[in-house]
Amino acid sequence: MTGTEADLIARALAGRDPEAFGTLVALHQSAVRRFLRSQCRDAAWADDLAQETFVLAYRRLAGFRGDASFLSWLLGIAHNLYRNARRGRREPPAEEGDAVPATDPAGLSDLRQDLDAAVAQLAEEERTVIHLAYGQGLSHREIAAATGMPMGTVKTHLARGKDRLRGLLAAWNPR
Amino acid sequence: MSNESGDRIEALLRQAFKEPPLADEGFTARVVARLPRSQPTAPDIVAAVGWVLAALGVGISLAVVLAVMPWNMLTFAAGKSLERALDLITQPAWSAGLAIATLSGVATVFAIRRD
Repeated sequence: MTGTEADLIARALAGRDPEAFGTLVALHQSAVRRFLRSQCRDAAWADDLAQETFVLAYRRLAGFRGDASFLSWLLGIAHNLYRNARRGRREPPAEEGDAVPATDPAGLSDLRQDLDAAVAQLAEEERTVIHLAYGQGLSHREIAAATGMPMGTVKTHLARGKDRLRGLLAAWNPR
Repeated sequence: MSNESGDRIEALLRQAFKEPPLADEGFTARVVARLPRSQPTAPDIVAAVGWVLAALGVGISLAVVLAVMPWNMLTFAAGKSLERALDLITQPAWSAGLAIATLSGVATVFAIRRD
């Protein structure tokens, strides 16, 4: 956690500066929205869940102990919200090319389009850990804390996910 | 999997996920507008009450079961009738214990979901 971030959290907790939490939202909104877009198959739904994530994080801010990064704590809340919300929704089966783009389609590279399509074919747990590891740059320990999975399970899902992606993205493998 | 192929896919993933941040488009303002204005750090009272009820329920029901269980077990050990054992089980203490255990179970599930 950066010094600025710790200061913003302290100010939001003290209640003296209501805009401090807004600055934290601005800092992390992109990462949280990207993560949720990688999980949901609906960008509008993902952004709704991202808003819920930040509102819930604000309510629970006193519970943030600082033993993991603030972002990984936020992503843990987002992951739980997504899992709870998903129970009441019917997801369409994953199909090649059916992924929700994480960026505007016009600016999407060919590699990114192929990656989105390949990641959409992974099992949900594999998709989650792959995105947290490579999309968000979290360590195995942070992924375990965010998802509630044991460390060994995180490593297993990562290895299986990479194995499947290796096959699905074979055309992109550099020589 | 060789280390080389592992490195290749990792490099590819890092390259593929590298992208500019999503545009804000008013997202932050919408979140800030939804933040509760009163006590930003107030604990979730419902979850806290749930946890207290759960702890009380587990403690009380354990005490009740421990207090009544030996009589029940002795009844069976002495070869008395099933009706006699059922009489013991349906005593107010058992009923109260069962009710408290059920309530504490519900409170626990509720607290976990809220936490």
